[in-house]
Amino acid sequence: MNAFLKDLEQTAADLRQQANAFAADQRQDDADLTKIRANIYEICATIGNVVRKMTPEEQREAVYRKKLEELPRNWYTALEMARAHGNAQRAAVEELKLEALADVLARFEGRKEG
Amino acid sequence: MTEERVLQLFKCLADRSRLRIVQSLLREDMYAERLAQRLGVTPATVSFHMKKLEEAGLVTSRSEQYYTVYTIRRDELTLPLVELIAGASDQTSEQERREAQYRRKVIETFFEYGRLKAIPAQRKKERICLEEMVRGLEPGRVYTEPELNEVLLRFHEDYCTLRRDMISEGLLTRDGGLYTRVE
Repeated sequence: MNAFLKDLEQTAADLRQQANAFAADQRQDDADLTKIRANIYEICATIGNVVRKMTPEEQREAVYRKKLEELPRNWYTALEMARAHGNAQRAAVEELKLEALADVLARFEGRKEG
Repeated sequence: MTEERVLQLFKCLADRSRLRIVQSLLREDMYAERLAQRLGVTPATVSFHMKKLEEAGLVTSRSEQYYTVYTIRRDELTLPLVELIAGASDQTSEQERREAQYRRKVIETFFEYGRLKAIPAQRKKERICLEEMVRGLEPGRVYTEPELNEVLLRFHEDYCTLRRDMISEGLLTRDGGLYTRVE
C-alpha cells in the first residue's frame, strides 16, 4: 500500500505543477480545474495514510476500498442536480472529480492484481 | 451591446485555452472530445470552457448522434473592435452596479438550484433572499396560509420563519390569515 500511496502523492504533486504551468500560460480555468483533480488524489492519499496507521493490516484493503466508494456519494448527487438544472460548469467539475476517483480505484485494484 | 456584455466577451477570450478553442472552431465545427485532444485536457474541462463561450455568445451547440458539436458564431467575431468598445453602453451608476453585484453574490451564495441553503444571519443578506423568494408569489393574488406555506416550502423547510420575516420586512401583508405580496 505504501508504494500505491506514494504514487498518488506523486500524481497530486505533478498535477499541482501542471496547474502552475497552466496559470503561467494564461489558462487560469484549466489551472483551477487541474487543482481540483490534484485535491482528489491528495484526499485519497490522506485517507489511505490514515487507514494504514489506524487499521490492522488484514483489514486495510477492505476499509480503504469502502472509504473510496463512500467518498463520491455527494458528487453523484451534485452531478445529477447540475445536469438537471443545465449547470454545465458545475457538472464538468463533478465529472472531473469522479474521473479522478475512478482512476484512483483502478490503480488500487491494479496494484492488487500486480 | 451593454458594457457588461462586452466585458464578459473580453474576459471569456482572455484565456489561452478558450482562444485556442475559438481558433479551432474558426477552421471547422468540432465536438468536445476532439477539442480535448487538441488542448491536452479532459472532455469535462472542454465542456466547462464551452459553457463560458456559449454564455458569451461566441459559440452555439447542436447534438449529433452521441456527440455535441460546437459552431463558432462568426457574426459576433466579425464585429470591429472599435465599434464594440465605442458602442458599449452603460446606463447604470457605479452605486447601482455595486448593489446589483452584491445582490447577485448573496443570491449565488445562499441559493442552490432555486433552493435556499440556509437563512442568512445578517439582516441585509436575509432581506435580499426574502426579496428573491417573494418573487415566487403572484402579484395581487391572495394566498391562504397553506397555499403560502407550499410556495415557501419549495425554497426552505423553515417556512414559518420565512413567512414571519417576509411580513416584518414589509414584503408580505397578512389580513385575517390571508397573505398578499406587497408591490
